[in-house]
Amino acid sequence: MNNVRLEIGNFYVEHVKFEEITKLEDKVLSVNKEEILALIRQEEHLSNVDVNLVYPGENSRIIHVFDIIEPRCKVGDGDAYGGLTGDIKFTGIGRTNALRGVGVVLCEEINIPWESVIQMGGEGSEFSPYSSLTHLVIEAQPSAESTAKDYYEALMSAGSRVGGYLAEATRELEPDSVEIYEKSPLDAVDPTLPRIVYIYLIYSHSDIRETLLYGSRPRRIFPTIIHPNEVLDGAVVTANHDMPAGMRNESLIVINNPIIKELYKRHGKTINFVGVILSNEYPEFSMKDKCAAIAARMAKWQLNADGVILTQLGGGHPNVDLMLNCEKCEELGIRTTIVVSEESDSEGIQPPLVLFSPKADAIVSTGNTNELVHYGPVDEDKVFGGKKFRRMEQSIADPIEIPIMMIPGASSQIGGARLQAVEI
Amino acid sequence: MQISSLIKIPEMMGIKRIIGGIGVPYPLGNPHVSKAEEERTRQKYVERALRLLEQPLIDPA
Amino acid sequence: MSKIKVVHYINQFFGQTGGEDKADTPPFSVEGCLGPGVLLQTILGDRAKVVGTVVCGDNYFWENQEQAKTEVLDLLAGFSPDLVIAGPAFNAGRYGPACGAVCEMAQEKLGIPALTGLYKENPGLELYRKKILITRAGSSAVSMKEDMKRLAELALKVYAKEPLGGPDEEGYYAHGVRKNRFSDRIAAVRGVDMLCDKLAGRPFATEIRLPDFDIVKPASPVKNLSEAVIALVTDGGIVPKGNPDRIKSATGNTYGKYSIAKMEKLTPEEFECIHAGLDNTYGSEDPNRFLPVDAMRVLEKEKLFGRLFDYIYTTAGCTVELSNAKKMGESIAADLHSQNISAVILTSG
Repeated sequence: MNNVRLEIGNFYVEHVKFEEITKLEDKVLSVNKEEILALIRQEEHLSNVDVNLVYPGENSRIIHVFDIIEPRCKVGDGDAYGGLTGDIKFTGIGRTNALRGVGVVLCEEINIPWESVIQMGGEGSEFSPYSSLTHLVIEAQPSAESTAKDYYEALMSAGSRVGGYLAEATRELEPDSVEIYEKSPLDAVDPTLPRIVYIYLIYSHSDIRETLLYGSRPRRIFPTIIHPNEVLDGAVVTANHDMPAGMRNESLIVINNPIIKELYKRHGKTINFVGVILSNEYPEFSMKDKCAAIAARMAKWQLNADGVILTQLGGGHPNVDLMLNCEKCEELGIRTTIVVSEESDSEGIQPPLVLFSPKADAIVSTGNTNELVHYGPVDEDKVFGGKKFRRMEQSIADPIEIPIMMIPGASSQIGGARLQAVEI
Repeated sequence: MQISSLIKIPEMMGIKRIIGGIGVPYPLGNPHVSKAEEERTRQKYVERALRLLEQPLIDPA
Repeated sequence: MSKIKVVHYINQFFGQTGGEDKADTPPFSVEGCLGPGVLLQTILGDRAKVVGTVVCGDNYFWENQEQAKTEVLDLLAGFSPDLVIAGPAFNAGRYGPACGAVCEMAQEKLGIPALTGLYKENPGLELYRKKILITRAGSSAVSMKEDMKRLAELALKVYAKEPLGGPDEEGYYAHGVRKNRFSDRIAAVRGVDMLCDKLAGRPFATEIRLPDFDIVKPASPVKNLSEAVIALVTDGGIVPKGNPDRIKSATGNTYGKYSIAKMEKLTPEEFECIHAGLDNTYGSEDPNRFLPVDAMRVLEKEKLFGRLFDYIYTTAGCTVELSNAKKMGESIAADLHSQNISAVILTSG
């Protein structure tokens, strides 16, 4: 049987609180704080651990956001975070439960030189999609002998442990709804529907500027075909640890890749979603060029694509990969559309991209990441994640002007937000 | 025609007759080799450039 | 509630003074509306009142620059306006820029909104589109009614500080500035929608367009290279030593034309590199690295081509504004054309 079927069981959480027993009942998630702390303390590279609950709509703020993880567990067998751990035996199939409305936020405390601020309520809170979730915020410092790499990896690991632990509360329960992702080459899709391929460009350059694939580092891979279910079940993990939020892309949105979800929604109805190609944004121009040619051929010669949609991770030179992929596809007769974030200046006067191609005639904008947003003041005792800003002189509860780039989720490079820039 | 070290840019502008320059601060030079070799190389590039001027374009857009 | 006070700026023709023969009319003002101002008032209705009209001859405005501007500004200010509306000036080549200049002044010096309407090819558009809001207009007064309506309605919106829709929706020319807003759909949905439209041949609108790079059709190949006159041009900023014409190292808008007649090569004693965006030392050490005069002379002697043109053209292509780059290119090209040059080798870093 060739059916690749992934079920995501959705459990909608409306409130979270600390209690004796961890359980999910009537949409309320109770969590034993001590057990969470004990789990995190298993990470040798983390010390001084603290956790807090932060609620949507409050006059509060989370700063130094490093990553946001969606709590998940696989029912039956397998690892819900296989892309991180490498245990991919059941990645993409079977049933995975997800707690919706909850985020596990990891805050970093080693002075990555950016701000990364989620305004949970009041002025400016509408820019981050994460302001409508309830967050379990984990603050931890590196241990004495830990390198930056050790610390980052420990944070990611802690996040997945805690996420898994929270999601365990759903194991015996019936989900509120189930999403079914089922796609195989044997699907009987109307042959007149346009065949669409998603070329998903990833960023794998160094230990701390990485996209993990199946738990490994795809540093020198050629473009490869990946099943969309694998992406939706955690095979791809962004680990651009020292990049600003707008280029980092949080785990929560990566595992819910909006492009893939939208293509799946229309699969068999108005399009034939034939596949996903992953391709690395190499540092050298010659490899960028080569991989673009290979990806385009793969889309055409192996998947017979009529159309390709393209996204990038990171900023600046990845524009070159986008344009090269666009050109090579168009040259093979594949029509393309690009979804990309813009890097004009704060006034919006400078060109939005580093490179353009005349063939890139269909581009969707996820907003100018350098435009500033005003955050209103928050309660003094309701700022989590750190004690002072990195680049701003104001104190952490003050009103601030912050660029879109430093607001997690605001200009989602894989299309998860409603922000766009228009020409005026 | 144009000789440019960053050829994607004239390409972006729709220029058809392009030769990639050697380096940004020395499109037709090379400070890392002997004077004689540099001059020989420059001559080769310029000759290519001149011949390109005679070339009909493959797809006159 | 007091009505919004509008002053209307028009030229001698619309001001019913006369045609070309009256283009040197000095500025004057009248109370209320004049000429197309009557239409403007009808459109504005109760919402605003055209309290005065300022008229100026197109030639007078441009031949007396600063003085004319001051005179017009004083007349405008005399009405204590809340809003200035100029034109529409359709495709009129002097009237259009005059309207642009008047609006810019009103904005800057009186601190009030000021708008005009121009045809897309009116020279005033490129000159003023980044500084003021300019609405679309037809090429002649045939479309006066709809153009004036578009202009007036947008002016009122701007005055009321209402959020504006995009250029296409509201009928104005984009400034070329990017501004964020929230769409009704997430980017992923817009992306898939756009791709489906593109594949189905349905119209779609890209959200980021290629900047207007003005793609020029390439010239046909040189017919006879052995007889061709070739000119060398560079944006690497190679200038005579001492930079006598003070060509700017960055953000410049001038180029130099220098004789290389009888020179076998460029020497570091006579030339230097002043480009601010790259390491100058290599170009200064050996300017032939940008303008290969030495190699050209060798090949000229070998009769590979006819003749090296006696002049080189140079500027420093560092952070030059697109419009200035275009002007310089057009000027150099025109000069070369008039000298019957067959082809150009352009070098860049």
